Amino acid sequence: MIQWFQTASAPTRRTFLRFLVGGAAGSAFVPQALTSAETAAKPKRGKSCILLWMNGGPSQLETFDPKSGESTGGPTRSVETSVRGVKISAFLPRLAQQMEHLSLIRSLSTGEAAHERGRYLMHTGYSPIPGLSFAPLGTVASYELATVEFPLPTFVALSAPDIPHSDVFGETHLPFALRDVEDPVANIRSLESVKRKRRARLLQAQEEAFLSVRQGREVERRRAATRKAEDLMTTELLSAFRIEDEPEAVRERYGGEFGQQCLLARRLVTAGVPFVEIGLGGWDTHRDNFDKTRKLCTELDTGFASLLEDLAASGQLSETLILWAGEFGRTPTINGDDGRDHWARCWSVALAGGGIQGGRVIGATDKLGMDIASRPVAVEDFFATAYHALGIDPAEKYTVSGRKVKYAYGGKPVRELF
Amino acid sequence: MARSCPFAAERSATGSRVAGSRPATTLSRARRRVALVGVVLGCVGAGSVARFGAPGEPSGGSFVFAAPAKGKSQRDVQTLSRRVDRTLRLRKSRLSPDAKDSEFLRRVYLDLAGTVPTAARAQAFLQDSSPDRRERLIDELLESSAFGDLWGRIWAEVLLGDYDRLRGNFEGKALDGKFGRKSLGNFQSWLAREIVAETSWQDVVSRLIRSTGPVSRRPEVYYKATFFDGKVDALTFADEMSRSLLGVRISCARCHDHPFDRWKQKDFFGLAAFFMNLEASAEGEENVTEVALTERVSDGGLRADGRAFPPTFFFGGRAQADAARLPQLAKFLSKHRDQLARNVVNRTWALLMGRGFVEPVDDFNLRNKARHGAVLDLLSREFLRRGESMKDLLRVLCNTAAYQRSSTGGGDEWLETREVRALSPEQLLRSILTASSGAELAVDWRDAEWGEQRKTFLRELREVYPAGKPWTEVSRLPGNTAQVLFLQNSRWMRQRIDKGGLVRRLRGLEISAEETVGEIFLAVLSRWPDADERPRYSKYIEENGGWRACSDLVWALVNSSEFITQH
Repeated sequence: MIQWFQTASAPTRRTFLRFLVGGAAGSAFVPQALTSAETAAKPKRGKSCILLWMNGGPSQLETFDPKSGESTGGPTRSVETSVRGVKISAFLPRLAQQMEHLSLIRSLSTGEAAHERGRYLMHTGYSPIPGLSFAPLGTVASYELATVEFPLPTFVALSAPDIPHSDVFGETHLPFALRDVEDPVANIRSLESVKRKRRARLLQAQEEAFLSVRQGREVERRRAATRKAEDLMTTELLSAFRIEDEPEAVRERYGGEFGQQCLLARRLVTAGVPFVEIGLGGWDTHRDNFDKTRKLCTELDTGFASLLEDLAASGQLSETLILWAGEFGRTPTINGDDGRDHWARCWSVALAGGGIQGGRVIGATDKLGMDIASRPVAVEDFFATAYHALGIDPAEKYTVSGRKVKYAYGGKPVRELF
Repeated sequence: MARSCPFAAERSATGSRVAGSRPATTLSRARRRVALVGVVLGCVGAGSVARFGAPGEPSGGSFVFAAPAKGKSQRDVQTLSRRVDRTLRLRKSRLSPDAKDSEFLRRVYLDLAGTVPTAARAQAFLQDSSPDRRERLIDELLESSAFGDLWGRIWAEVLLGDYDRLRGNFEGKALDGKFGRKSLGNFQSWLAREIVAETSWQDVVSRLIRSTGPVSRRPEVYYKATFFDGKVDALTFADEMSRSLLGVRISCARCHDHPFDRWKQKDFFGLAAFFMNLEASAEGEENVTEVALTERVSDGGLRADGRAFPPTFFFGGRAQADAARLPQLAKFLSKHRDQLARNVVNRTWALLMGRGFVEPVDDFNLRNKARHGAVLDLLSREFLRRGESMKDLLRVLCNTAAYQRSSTGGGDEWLETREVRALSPEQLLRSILTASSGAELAVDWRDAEWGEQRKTFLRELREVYPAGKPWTEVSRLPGNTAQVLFLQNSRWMRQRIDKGGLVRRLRGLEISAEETVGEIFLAVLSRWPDADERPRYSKYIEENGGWRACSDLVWALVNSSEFITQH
């Protein structure tokens, strides 16, 4: 079942890795798991990405594109930032001080204003098509950036509901869901105990007898999954999940539950995880938009800003792409419940790190925020930008239901950000 | 849609018919009448057997050997199964040997009943030396209550697609959760009853399409009701029903003419136009506790893209716009029931054999050639001729040599060897519960006690498979790290194994280590230990002390690939 022979191009690092995992005859070609010390000593290759997912559709007017003083601005004030001429919402004071690291796209236009569809679009770059499963950003990034011997999961997800699923690159690139930030990895037990070792030996004998006389994709999957699970249970890098190892002062600086997620994400990318998706939900403010958004922004502000500070200070920011997005934005018009409704015509996302130049603002909305005033950006351009920052070719193709599609369909990276 | 279609570049002009479509076969009126009588008799017979649960279990009713329904003899089934094998044209030198009895036993139990057999049942089968034991096992499983329950759920999920629940928004009122769950359950039960009773598939489809009224009184209305989120969603329903009933992605023609098939935009909207007159009304004080569908009559076409599309069926049939449209569509579907048949045959083959003749199974199109298309043709023709019974189709398929091939040895072309596949979550759950509980009797999965276990298991499984609605009867476990961790280390698994009925029972028995090993293998792997395993594990139990070693062995076997896969 050596399928990569069928690809016309010469084996790239990616196809070579696939060969190692997919396997030819028997287990002779599959490398043994490296000890955790060796893995830790290996330099981390490639960049990492942290996606901050704002479930519900965050209001751009209360975050990164305030219209203070205008009829659509509501009571929200704007503040000066550390970048002259750029103002963001007063609800995000600490982020305002990190503006030299952070860039904004204010002219994103997507056209999907329903939660499920918007979520799908902003994770995969494609609108949902019945019967087809497109791969989300995390799966592609994990596939492109992970090294096969890395013992931690390479696409980690926490508090991010309904990430689209695609096993086109194999099961190891599906999102690995964490339970919660205090007790992240479920079902990890030490392999050290006598009882466990006894059982492991029994299991191994049974496995060899069964798998060695059978072939096929499932056989290889079983081998790979068992090996990955063992790697995970035995690696020293597991300590990356323990935010309780951080000094109290650091934990306080990051703030509430979302802040702790940011701290966890920082530890994971430092340990070498290529893609971490964390989430802060509750942005669907059809009612009571200003109160609710202000509270959410407090959590967002402390977490996000601390993350930027720490990554910048440790020199990791250039190797770590950070994306901030939700399903869509919210209406400039304020409704009768003091709320804002779904709005996909012109809204904002934020990017930092990974080669993105900070402090830049791409595009603008008009005075009231009702339309794009300049430089419209489509969702595929946003994805192309992200892939480009990560060193991934946005025009690379993968197969969905027998048809080839690009990572970022027709999108062009936003050059002004680099 | 606002966004451009990612496949637009692949459009090419094709003028020929859909690959593999054939003119409808029509049963002569006299033969239809005979078939109807056969159906009625078959229903009566099947119904009485279904009440007693799985025949052949130590208790729970006397064994009733059920002859295949509709007056079809066992020999007739065998004839067709042999024909299927001959038509397959596989390289004889590359074929795997026939599966051992234990392999076959476990495989057919998982496919037809969704679980491994109990140790007692396994032992009985393995001790049976009669030449027709496999045929009788297939018949027995097809008459078990577990069969109807499992396959009713499988097909309910095929039909409902991603829309497995009534949507919540009826005129601003939220759906009552209990009503939603009960309606889904009733729909599944209704479908199960139709499958068990061997109602012809075109009749089932006809009822699915044309029935209206309140969901609580007509469970089949649920099928359309899930697509009407308080208002008509004819476009989505047209897409779903064309994929689930016909295996055609007509919605590819929604934005533009289909990229590589003969369908045009008017075909998609023409189909949707059949459903545009449906209205949903909701009842209930605070929450919605009843949903009813009615079809009003209007002569308008469906308006889209600035044009009006009259109701037309893309395989052929222009409806009278000012009459009730659903019955007309049901008639058109009946007239083109060859595609209904091909869809059922293809999907059933995929569920049993790992992939369909046509893949993806909802994508029959001109570019998508069927593999072993001659067998698809044969089985579709026979499906129509033999009364369109899914149960009959399963009986024929399970009796083929292709189905009964071993997973060891053999070439690597499809069907030369039995493919190893992941289990579905439901199969895994039931198998773990059956094996670890040491159940003597077949478990009734509708029991409340098992309902609690299932809830916990599925909740834990959410961590294994985090996105959306990931698992169904028709999808497989992801086989990822999280799944391995769950099965090896979770508290739920530890409780099932270390404190489960099997280990507890063995603890109480005064038997030798050798006999203990035999019991464990039968319960978990549905076979006897081989000449190498028996002494090795007997020694292990003697050396490591009684029941602790038992639970070690149970743990190892339950976590082995042999248990966790379908092979």
